[in-house]
Amino acid sequence: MAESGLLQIRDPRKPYGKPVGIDLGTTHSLVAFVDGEGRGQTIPLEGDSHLMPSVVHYLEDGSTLVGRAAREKLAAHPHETIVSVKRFMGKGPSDPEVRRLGHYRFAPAQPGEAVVRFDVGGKWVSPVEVSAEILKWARRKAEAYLDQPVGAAVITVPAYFDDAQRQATKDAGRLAGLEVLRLLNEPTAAAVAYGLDRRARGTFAVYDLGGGTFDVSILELVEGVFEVRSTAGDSSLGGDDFDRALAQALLEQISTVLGRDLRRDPFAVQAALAGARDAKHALTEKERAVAVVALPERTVEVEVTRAQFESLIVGLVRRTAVACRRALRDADLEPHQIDGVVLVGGSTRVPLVRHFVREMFGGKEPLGDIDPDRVVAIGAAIQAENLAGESRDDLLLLDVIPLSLGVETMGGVVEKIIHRNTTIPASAAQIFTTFADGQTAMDIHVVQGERELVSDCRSLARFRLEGIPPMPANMGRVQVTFSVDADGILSVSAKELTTGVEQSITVKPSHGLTDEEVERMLLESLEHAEEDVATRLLIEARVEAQRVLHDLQKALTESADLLVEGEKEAIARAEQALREAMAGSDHHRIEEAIADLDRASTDFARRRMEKALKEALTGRSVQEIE
Amino acid sequence: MTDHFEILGIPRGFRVDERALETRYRELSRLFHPDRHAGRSAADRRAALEKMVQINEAYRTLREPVRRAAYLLSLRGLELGETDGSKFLPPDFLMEVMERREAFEEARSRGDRERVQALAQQARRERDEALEALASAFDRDDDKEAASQVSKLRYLDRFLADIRAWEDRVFEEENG
Repeated sequence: MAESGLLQIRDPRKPYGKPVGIDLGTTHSLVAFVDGEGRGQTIPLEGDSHLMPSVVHYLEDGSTLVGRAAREKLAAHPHETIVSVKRFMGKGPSDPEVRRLGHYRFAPAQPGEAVVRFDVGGKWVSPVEVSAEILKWARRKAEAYLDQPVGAAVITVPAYFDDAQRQATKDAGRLAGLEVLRLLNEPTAAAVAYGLDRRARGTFAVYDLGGGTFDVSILELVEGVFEVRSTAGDSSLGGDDFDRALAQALLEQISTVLGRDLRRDPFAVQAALAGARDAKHALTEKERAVAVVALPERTVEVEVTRAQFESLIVGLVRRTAVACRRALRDADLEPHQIDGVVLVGGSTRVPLVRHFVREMFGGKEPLGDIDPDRVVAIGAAIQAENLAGESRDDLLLLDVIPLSLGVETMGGVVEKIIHRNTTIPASAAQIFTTFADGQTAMDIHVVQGERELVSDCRSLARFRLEGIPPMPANMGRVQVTFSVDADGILSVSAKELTTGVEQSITVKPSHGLTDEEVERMLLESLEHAEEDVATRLLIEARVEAQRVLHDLQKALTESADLLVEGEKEAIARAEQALREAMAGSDHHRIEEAIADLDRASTDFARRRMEKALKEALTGRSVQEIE
Repeated sequence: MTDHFEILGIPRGFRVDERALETRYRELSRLFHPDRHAGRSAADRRAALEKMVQINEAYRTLREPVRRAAYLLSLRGLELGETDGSKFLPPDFLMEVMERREAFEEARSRGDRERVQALAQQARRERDEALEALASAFDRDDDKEAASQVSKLRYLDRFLADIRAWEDRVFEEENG
């Protein structure tokens, strides 16, 4: 394979082009970047519009249209056109979401199948694949606008997304060929955009009502550190529900007039949703509006007053109070202790919502001067820049896990292992004991949620610990460590305590794709023909190798005194092997050599961190750790 | 294994300067948070992540007085564990607990919110007193007394949590 020209111009510290922030929303998606003046800016994605509809239309040949062009196909092809795919991320075929008012056609659920799939003209696609189409399109638009490659992004997720939903979002990013620098919680992103703008200090609530999700987060801001105190929400409540409530009312009224039940007709449902959405927007400014429902045979107009609309949605708006109250309690705060409230999401334009937020947080006028549609993408771009080491702001985000993690115990009861609102990264260990003589394997079921019974929580994964040496009952003890990373994603490791042997774990996600499935999709996707993937993997492996070697050189020069007997030689051998592998064109070999060098230098890295901590505490150095 | 006080570099003891603790936590987070090591080799990222997990755990334990006290006692060899620790409690307190529970159950079944709030108010007052008693027990190095106060505080916290859970349920029924 020819040497890639790209490799020479890539900076090993910045191998992925311009970092961007992507708000992958239920109804719209946005991309933002940080400009030369250090300001976050969104990018026009559809002509002049910065909001691209999160809609994907599947054509007969399997190719796709995304955005406005896809939305135009919705009326004529409701089954082949997927809207609000975010609602289905990380969901299984029997999820209640699948049964709501909508115009989707789902693939028949296969026994044991973990992921819901849409039937788009005979082709079955998962929500991850649909989202990846949106991300690919957004990326292409951003590259054209910025006139440079875009390969790394911070993608935002609702704070209340569980592990399966986060994992699905990350998989979609990977499938779109993006290096996902971080999954960032939407309210935290909004706080970043506001906080940095105002150099603020204090306690803030972020009320984020998007198209399909609701989040509220309480953050404390001190000198560029954004510490999330609590978060709560409802990952299936949003402005779409307002549309649905109004559409439902319109359909009932029209069905009565026409003497024909239209509520199950996908064309009528789609037309009513479109009419409801336009009427909702009009009612933000006006007291009355006309909902236009363009049925295939005739167009029907229905007048709607703001009062009527509000009576349809007041229950939905009140549902957000439950989460607000819980977030305040978990942060141990009273409403009057909140210094400011930030509004995020297009649905916060609805007057009833604004009124409600004012009431909820002690009468304070909420902040909404950064466009509530764009603020999340802007915050994400700032964090992307920060993670790529480009930021001028001394910014740090300390976020939390939104829902408790636990394991199933006797009688289907949940034992919580990591509690909600624990700052991440976090980990906790739990010891499991064998209950039968000679037992060599153990099944563990991980769930997420606050309720006591497993059946009321979200099933995340089941895994099996194997290779336990045969012993009498209660003698085999396995320590399982649950770790949640800064993306809020769980990983599990296990160790048998009597032998100290690391156990192999096969995690089967309850509602997600396995790594193999994502890998296969990546290979199958049209843009990533086998050749391309191999080239890309080779470039990535070399860049990573350069980065590892660069860091190691620096560390060896600065902390040579921390090396122990024989370690220097072991590292040198692994280093030499890596240099040899880099000269070849086999990315597997490079990856293996990186892993070998990684193992050889793990203890050295730990010792350097330990030393850095000691130095920080004795005040000798509170600068960056090198 | 370094203990939580050493990780955060604060003197081992029950009375801690909470502002200093917060400032220290933020300083260390700036150094070790994974975001600060995003562009580095896997070994470095992992080592920083492990450190940050320890820092978070240490801060979570030490910032909250009851958790801090239980941890401090465990360092001194007095393990309260996750159990109720009732062996450290005076019998009259256990009687009070039962009476309090009954009063709550009764008020709850009648839907008497004012009565429930009064019970919560009283529990909070007792909680404040127990915290004072806890601090002075530690001042006197009276570990048994400290253990007794921790057990008491855990009871009160559980009681207050149950009240909150009930109030939340009522609120959800009204707004869900």
